[in-house]
Amino acid sequence: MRLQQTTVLANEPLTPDIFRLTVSLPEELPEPVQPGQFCNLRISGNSHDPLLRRPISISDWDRRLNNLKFVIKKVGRGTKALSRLYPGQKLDLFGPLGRGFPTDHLREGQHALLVGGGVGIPPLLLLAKKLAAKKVKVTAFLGFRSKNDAFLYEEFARYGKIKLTSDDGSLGRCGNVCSLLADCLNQGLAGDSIYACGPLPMLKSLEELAARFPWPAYVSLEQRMACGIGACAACTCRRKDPEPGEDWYRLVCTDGPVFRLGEVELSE
Amino acid sequence: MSKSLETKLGPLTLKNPIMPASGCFGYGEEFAKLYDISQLGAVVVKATTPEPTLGNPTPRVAETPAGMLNAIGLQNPGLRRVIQEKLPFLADYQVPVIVNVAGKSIEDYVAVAEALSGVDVVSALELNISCPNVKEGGIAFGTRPGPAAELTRAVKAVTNLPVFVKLSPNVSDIVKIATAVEAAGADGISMINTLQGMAIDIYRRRPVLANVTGGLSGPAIKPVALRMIHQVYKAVRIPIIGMGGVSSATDVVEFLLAGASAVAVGTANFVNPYIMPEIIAQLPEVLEKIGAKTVQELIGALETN
Repeated sequence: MRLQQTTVLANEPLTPDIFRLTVSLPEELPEPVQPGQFCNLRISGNSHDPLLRRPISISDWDRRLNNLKFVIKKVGRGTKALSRLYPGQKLDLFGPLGRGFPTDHLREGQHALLVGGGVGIPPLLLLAKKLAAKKVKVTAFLGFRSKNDAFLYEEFARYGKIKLTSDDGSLGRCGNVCSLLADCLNQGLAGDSIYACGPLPMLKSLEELAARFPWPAYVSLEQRMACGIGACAACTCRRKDPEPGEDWYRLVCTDGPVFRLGEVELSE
Repeated sequence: MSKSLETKLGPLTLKNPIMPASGCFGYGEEFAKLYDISQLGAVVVKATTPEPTLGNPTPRVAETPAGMLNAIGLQNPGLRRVIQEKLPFLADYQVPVIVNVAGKSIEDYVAVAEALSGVDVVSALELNISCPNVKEGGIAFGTRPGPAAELTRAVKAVTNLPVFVKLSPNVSDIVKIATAVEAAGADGISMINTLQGMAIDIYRRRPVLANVTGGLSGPAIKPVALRMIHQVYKAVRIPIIGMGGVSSATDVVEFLLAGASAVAVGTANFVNPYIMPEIIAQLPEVLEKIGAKTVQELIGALETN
């Protein structure tokens, strides 16, 4: 992790409330970015409002050009302020932080299933890119509210197969992404690992399906954070089965945000 | 090294007045990956309770205008594991270590203080009688002079370490609490802890924090902290560790002038993880700008007439 003053190269709207920032790093990152890691972003300057950094997952990393991309949803004041950045402006970046999706166990020719919902989708794009580079087959199940709210799916198509759903049926199959995954599993779809990021109900549906797949599954969690480095204990989540004398919790910022499915409770 | 930044907290001499506020710095390990923490005037670690404390449900933090609310709830692995697993790490650094002590009863505080007194790395204790986010203990001792003094006296009886008492701003007269703990033998005062507050999500019609209320920190509370430190400084003779929204070297000078002998940085560590070494580096320049030679000449040097 490193604190850097990056320069915004591009800010492009992907949907009415989702945008993509591309930033150029002045220094090389000390270690390769793991898909699933995040950065703590803040508009440069001494303004006290908004005060805290915003933890945003990395959606792409170009090592050669030394730039990072973030796909962000406008939710509150901080993300709205980020949406107004224009090329040439400075963005204060602290990262990369956290532990990403493990991929070392997958070999060429094996098959990874990616499951993403809404604004949980962006970190899976960097994962798909990395897996494709390892010649791991990728099938991405991507769920959106509607066609108007859909983004990035064409880019996933570069790295593998895509299976789309939308809540209103305007794009792909009508319904949620886990019910499509369940149907595909019923029809004999097999993989070697599952990776998921999305809203809590989606992750819970995936956990209910877990008995149907024996492969390792990893989920990326979200939690309100302050420090991002494990010091403030704001982003705690409960472990499912701690041994006596062991810690009962994990921190989303440093132990996660990616956890093996079943390691921690999926709750707010 | 220049002694212009040196300051004293009773028997402790600090190379500079900057330290983290308890709860904002873990046990030092995380920030030690970013910079050499022996640059700091002191290290203040998270609250320690006799038994492991699970803390509150999440969400535990919410941003507010120029501030944040937290309701962590004193999460910590308990006295035994703090001593065995957390404090030894700090022995490698040439920096005084202050441990924040919390509990539900006088017996709890006494047990923690007694055990920590036998740990070499610990230089001082900070009694947390001001956490607004736990149901029992904590602030129950911090809102009335009598119980605050009784607790201070009980802890002083079992330890030779300097004892700082961390006061709550959520009281009608903080001076009465301060003078009561001074009379009970406190070696110093830490102030202020967070101001109790809340944030509301109008779409869900719910509080943002699972705990409903939390403690407000950050630049928003700085004027309250300065006012209270100024009032207490005039009323006590023991040193004050000042805190509340400090995020720059000029803020530090304001706290010194109000009467603080040392200054703790809390929320600002989350905004800029390198803020404390940056402030330490900038302090000499700010001193020069205002025509001061030393930190110590500024303590309580506020002119009000």
